[in-house]
Amino acid sequence: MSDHRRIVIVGGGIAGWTVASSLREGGYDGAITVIEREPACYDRPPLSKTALVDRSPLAALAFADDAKLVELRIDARVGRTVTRLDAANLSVLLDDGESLIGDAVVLATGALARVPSFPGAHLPGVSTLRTYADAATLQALIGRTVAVVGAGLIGAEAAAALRQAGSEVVLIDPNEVPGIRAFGPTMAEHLHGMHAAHGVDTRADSIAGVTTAGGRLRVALTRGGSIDVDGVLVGTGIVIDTALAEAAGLEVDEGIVVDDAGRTSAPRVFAVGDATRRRLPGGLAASRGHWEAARLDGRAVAAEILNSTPEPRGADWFWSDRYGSHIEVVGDMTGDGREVVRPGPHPTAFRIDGGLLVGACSVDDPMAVRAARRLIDRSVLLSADQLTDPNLPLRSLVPRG
Amino acid sequence: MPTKTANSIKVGVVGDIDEDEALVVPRATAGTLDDIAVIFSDGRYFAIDDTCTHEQTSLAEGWIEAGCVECPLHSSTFRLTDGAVLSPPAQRGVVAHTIEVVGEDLMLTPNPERLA
Repeated sequence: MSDHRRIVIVGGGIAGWTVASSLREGGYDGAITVIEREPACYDRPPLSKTALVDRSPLAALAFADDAKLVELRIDARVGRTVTRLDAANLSVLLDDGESLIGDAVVLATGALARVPSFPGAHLPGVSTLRTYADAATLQALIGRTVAVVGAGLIGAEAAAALRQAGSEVVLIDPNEVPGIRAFGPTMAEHLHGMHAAHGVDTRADSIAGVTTAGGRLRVALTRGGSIDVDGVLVGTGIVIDTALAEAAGLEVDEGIVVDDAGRTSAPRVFAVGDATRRRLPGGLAASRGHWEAARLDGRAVAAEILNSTPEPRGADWFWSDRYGSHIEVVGDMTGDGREVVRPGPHPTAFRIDGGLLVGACSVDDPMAVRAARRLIDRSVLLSADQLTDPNLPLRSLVPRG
Repeated sequence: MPTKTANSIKVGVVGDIDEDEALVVPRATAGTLDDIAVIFSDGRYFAIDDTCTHEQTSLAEGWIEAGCVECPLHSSTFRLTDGAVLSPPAQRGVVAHTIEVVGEDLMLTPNPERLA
């Protein structure tokens, strides 16, 4: 029936869920259907942190329980996948044979963990971490010996969580100091050093292959030698899930290509979150892969569908946790400008370019980054001397309003 | 030191809390289920449950601006007037309490729903 309006959202992670909840919040009165291949629409950041080791039930991570779904009138089809998108008709086909037609379709298909390609990667006990089921599987390694391959955000968080839960952890990454792109050189070195300080065996190496050895796994290292472990967790990046978009003929370039409002190359088909790459004047931006970026994508698309003004969008922000320390980053910690460090009990690194702040990274001083966010977003002119003066409160640099 | 009247507690005097800052009234003092953050912002006083509903952390340590407090861990945002959550990852708001300036005294009346 043409008077039955519906928005179809493919994917119920933070990006897709935010579209749904923001549409309701903004007064959208038609039907909202979210199709999620996982058993619930839930929040992913805890999977490599607390939820990896505290056996949180899936319900604790869900965005809404059944009562709230009813209240919000969000039709969540969980455990279902979309097998086909017809971009011209704005219809999707589900794996159970049902077909849904919308006034708009939003793709929030996210990304998958990159499947490792070393020999033995298929062996039981070698896993990646992207879903609740992955985290539940990895809980079997609490208190045992684990090789974590890749010391990026996921690998570092998982290594820390497992170590703190009593596991012996070997952390393998080809870089002597991983994380420079995310944290800048000063903080990357400090943060990576926390692993060894907590008894993790860190190796600047890569994995040559895995074999079984007496009921355990033997990890051969490229630089020679091997380690016997009970499990291997590989955290070496993501592969954007563009299958549906590609088959539907949308413009795809390692991610679904979108503009600032989340529009794809097909009318009334939008895309949000990890699955996307944004078109910028100078080319395509890399997928940002962070929780807040995905959420703000969802806000922008909901605003576009509602024909309302989108919220202003500032510098990218993310957090990470390891060994009970809380890390925050805003903006860009590599690239133009230079790095300065504000001394103190919890030093903060800043990246400054001319008289403008472009990035900040704090460990256990989140208010430093909250101030930095506003200094960046409000283009406040400042100097390195001001930033590095421990007696000058950062908040005093932030204009009110 | 806090002093009690019938059901309100003196938790400080005007000037104790700087602009966009907070003080924490411990639950043992307030007789409540949670600590209470008393916040001064835009020339007004507010009182809300201090613990973020997402993960256990003190909202008094957060960024206070424009009638809201932003959690120091994951930036969930709560409205100071009524504790409503405006931005995730928190899904639930926090309970608001009554705070009044009587003379120079800051008088907190805990929300009866939150009495221990």
